[in-house]
Amino acid sequence: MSILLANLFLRGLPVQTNLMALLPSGESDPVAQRAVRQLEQQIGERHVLLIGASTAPAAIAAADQAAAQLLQSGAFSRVTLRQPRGDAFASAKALRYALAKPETIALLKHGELEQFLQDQAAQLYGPLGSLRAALLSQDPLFLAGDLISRRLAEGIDFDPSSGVVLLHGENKVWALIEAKSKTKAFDDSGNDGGNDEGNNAQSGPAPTARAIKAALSFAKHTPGVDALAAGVALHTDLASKTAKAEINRIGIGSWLGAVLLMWLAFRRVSAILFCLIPLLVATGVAILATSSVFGSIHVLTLVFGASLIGVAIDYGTHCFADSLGADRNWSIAHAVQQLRPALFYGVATSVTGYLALAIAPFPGLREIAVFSSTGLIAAYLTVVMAFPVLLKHYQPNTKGMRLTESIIKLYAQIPSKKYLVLLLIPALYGLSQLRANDDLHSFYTVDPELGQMEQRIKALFPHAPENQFFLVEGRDAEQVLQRENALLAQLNPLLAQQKVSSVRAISQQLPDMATQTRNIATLQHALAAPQYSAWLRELGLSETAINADRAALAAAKTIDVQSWLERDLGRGDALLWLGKTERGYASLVLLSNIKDKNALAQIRVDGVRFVDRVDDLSDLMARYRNLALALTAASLLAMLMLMVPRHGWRGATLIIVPSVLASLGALALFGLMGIALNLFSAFALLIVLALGIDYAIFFRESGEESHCAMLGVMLDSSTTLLSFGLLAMSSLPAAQSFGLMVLFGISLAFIFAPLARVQSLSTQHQQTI
Amino acid sequence: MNRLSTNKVFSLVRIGLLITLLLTSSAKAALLDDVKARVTLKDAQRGEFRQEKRIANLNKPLISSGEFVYLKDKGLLWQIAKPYASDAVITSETLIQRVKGKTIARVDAKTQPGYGAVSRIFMALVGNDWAVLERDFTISGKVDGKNWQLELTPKGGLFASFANSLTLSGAATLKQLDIAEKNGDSTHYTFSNVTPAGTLSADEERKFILQ
Repeated sequence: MSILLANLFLRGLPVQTNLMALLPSGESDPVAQRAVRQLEQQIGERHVLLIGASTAPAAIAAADQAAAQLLQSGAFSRVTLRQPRGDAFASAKALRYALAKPETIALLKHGELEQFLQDQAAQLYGPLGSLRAALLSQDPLFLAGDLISRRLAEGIDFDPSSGVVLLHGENKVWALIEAKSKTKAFDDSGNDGGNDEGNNAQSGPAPTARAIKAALSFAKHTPGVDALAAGVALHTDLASKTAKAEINRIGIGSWLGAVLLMWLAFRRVSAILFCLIPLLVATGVAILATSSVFGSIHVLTLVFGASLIGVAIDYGTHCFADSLGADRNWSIAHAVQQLRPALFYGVATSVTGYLALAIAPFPGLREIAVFSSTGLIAAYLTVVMAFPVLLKHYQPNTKGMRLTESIIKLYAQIPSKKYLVLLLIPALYGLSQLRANDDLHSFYTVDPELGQMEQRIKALFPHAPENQFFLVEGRDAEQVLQRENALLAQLNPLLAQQKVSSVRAISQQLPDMATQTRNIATLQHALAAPQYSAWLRELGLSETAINADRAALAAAKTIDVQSWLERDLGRGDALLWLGKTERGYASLVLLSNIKDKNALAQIRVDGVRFVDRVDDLSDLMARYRNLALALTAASLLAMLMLMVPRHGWRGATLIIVPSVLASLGALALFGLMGIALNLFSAFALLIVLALGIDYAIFFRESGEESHCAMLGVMLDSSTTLLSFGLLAMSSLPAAQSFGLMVLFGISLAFIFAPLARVQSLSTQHQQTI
Repeated sequence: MNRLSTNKVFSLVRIGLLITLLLTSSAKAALLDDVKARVTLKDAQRGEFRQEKRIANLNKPLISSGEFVYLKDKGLLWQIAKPYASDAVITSETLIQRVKGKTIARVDAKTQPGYGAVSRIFMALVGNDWAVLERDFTISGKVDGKNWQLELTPKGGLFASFANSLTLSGAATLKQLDIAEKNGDSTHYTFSNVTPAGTLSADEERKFILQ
C-alpha cells in the first residue's frame, strides 16, 4: 500500500478543484443532461478577454501583445484574436438559394419579381451598394451576402483588415480575444477524446488563471489600456486556492488541538505518537481509496476529510483512556479486547452515517462518504490489530484523570434530568423558527472582483448565453428544425418586448429540408422569367456571367445539418446541435440577457423544453435535504434495532436518546440563530447522529466505571469539535453549514451522552464478547 | 457571434467616405488651413450628383444621378433619380434607404457599432476636427488659386481594408471625388450646381424625418 501511496504522490495527487464537479447535472433526463454538459464544456473551456483602448488600432495592438502572451504561456490550446479567414463567401454562395431569406422567398412567391429586382437595384446604386456592386457578377441578387450578414450578431463590430472582433462601450473600443484552455474545466474523468494536449489535462485551472492574470496586468501597464477577463478557470482557481488554504488550516489546527488534548490527558509522548498512527493509516487509505474509486479527489473532499482526523483519532484515545483507570495488571491487549465491541459498534454506526451521504447523487457527497468510511475502517483495524502488538510494554500515567473527575463532578451537580424539560420551551420555539434555503448560490460564493468584471463584460458583449436554454427534440433532424421554427415564432414577441435580448438557434440560418427545397423551387420558378436576365443584362453582366448564374440556380442543392456544421459558415453552430440522442435528435436554443424567465418557461411547443439548471439544481438540493432528514430518522430506528440484542430495549433507547436530543437541539439552535437548513447541514445531522450514538455506546459499554468512557468521549468530542468547528469557520458556504451543524450537534451529543450510562443501581451485568 | 461578414462594414465605410468627401475641407496644417479658407459652402448646401462605379467583370459602369441636400444639424439626404429611384437619409446615428416610402435598407449605430465608428469621422469632418481625421489618414495635396486638391491615404483600420486612396478636388465647394478601391474597382463622383441649401421643400422635410 505504501508503494501505491508513494506512487500516487510521485505522480501528483489528482486533485479536482472545480466546484461544479461536485454537483450532479441536475437532470434525470439523459438528453437534457447531455445538453447541459455540452454547453458547460464549451463555456468551461472558453475564456474571454477584452482589451480596451481609445482607438481601434491601439486596442488591437494591445490585444496582439496579450494574445501572444497567452499563447506563450502554454496554458491554452487555442488563442483567437484574428478570426480565421475561412472562405465564408464561397460556402455562402453554394447555399444561397436553399438558405435564402424568408422575406425574399415570400416576395417572389407572390409574383413580385419586378418589385424585388427594383429594390435590389436601388440598393446596388444606393449608399450601401458598394459591396453589392463588387459581387454583382458572382451573386447578382446578393443572396450570399445576405446570408453572411445574417450571421453578424447585433452590437458586434468587425475590423476586416485585421480580422479582429471589436466591441464598443465605456468610451472605449475593445478587441475580443477568445482563449480555449487546455485543461477541461468540466473534466469527465480522463475521457478527453484523444485530445493531443491530454497530458496537461490534469494541471488544473491554475496555469490558465495565472496566464490570464498576467496578460491582464501586462495590458493594463500601457497608459489608456484597460483589460477584462471572464472564464470558469478564474473562479475555480480562486475557489481551489481558498479550499487548499483551508485544508491546511483545518488540518494543522486539528492536529495541534488533538496533540494538546492528548498531552493533557495521557502525559505520555508515546501515547500521543501511537494515537497518531491510526490517523496516518486512515488518511493514507482514505486518499488511496477515493482516488482509485473516483480517479481524483476533490479539494472539498479534502476539506471535509481534514475533519476526519477528529474521528479517526478516537479509537486510539479510547484505548489509552481505558489505561488511566487501570491497575497494575492493565495491558493494552486486554484493553483492546474489552473495548472491541464498543469500538466495533462505534465504527459501524459512523460508517453507516457516512455511507448515508452516498445516497444522494452528489458526486461530492459520495466522495466524502468513501473517503471517510474507508478511513474510519482503516483506523479501527489498525487499533484492533496493531495496538496489542505495538504497545505490549506501555505504562499508563494517570495524572490526566483529574480532568475527567472534575467533569464527572459537574454532571453530578446537575440535580435532576427532569430540569431538562425547562429547555423544551426555547427548543420548541427554535424548531418552529427553522427554515431552509436550497438556492444553488448558497453553494458557492463569487469573488466580488471577478463578479464585477463579468458584469462589465456582459454589458459590453450582450450575447453571452445564459444558463437557461431551450432543448428541442424530434424524431429526426428535420423535425427538430421544424420545432425550432415553431419555438422561434413564439419567442419573437418576447424579443420585441425585450424580455430576452437575443436568441440563437441553428434554424435561424438553416431551415428544415422541406423549406430549403421549396426555397429552391420558388427561386428557380421566379428567376426563369425573362425580366430577370434582362435586368442582369441592363446592369452590364456579360453573357458568360448570366449563363453561370443560370447554371448555379439550376444546380442549387439543399444542405443537411451535418454538412452545415462542416462548412465555414455553419461551424459556429456546433454548440447548438446535440445530434443523435437516445430518443431521436436534439438541439439547443440559447438565450441572452433573460429579463423574464417565467415568460420563457411558459412557452409550450411540442418537443421543446425550457431547461433551467440553476432552478433544477436548487430543487434537487431541496429534495435531497428532505431525504437526508428522513434518512436521519430512519437510521435512528435502524441503530436502535442494532442495539437491542446487546443492550435490551431500555439500554438501546438510552443509547439513542442523547443523539436525538443533540439533533433536535442543534436544529433548534439553527432556528434560534436564523441559520437556514440546507442539504449540507441536513447531512451533517446524520454524522451527529452516528457520532452521538458512538459516544453513548462508550458510556453504556463502560458499565458503572464511566470515568474512562468520560475521558475517551471527552477527547473524542473535543477533537471532533476542533476539526468540524474549524470547518464552521470555512469561507466555503457548503463546508460552513456542514461544520456548524456538527459543531452544535456534537457539543450537545457530548453533554447528553452520559444519559446512556448504566445507573449505579442498575442490575444490568456487563458482558464481554 | 463571430462568423462575420465584411459586407456591412464595407458599405459603412463607403458611406463614411462619401459623407466625408462631400463635406470635406481637410488637410494638414497650412495646407488644411488653405483649403479651409477656400471652402465657403459648408453647413447647408444642395446640389446635383453623378456617381460612376467601374466594376471588374461588368461590361459598363454603373451610373446613377440625382440630388442631395446637406444640413449640418439634420444630416444628408441623397436622392437618386436614375436609373432606379430611391432616397437615403444619413445621420451620425442611422442610415435609412427607401423606395417610394418603403424602407429597403437600414443601418443603426446602436446595433451596428461599425457605423458609429464611421460617423465619428463624419462628425469630425463636420466639426472641422482635423486632428481626428489626421489620425486615420495621411493627407497631402495642393492649392492652386481658387482650386484645391487633396489626397487622403488611410493609415489603417476599416478604411485601409477597403480603399487605397481618396482624391478630392474643388473650390468653394467639393467638385469631384475619386475612390480607388483595393480590389481594383473605382468610384467617381461629380457634384454640380452646388448652392446654399435654402429652405427645404415639403417633400424634403418629409424625407428627412427618419422613422
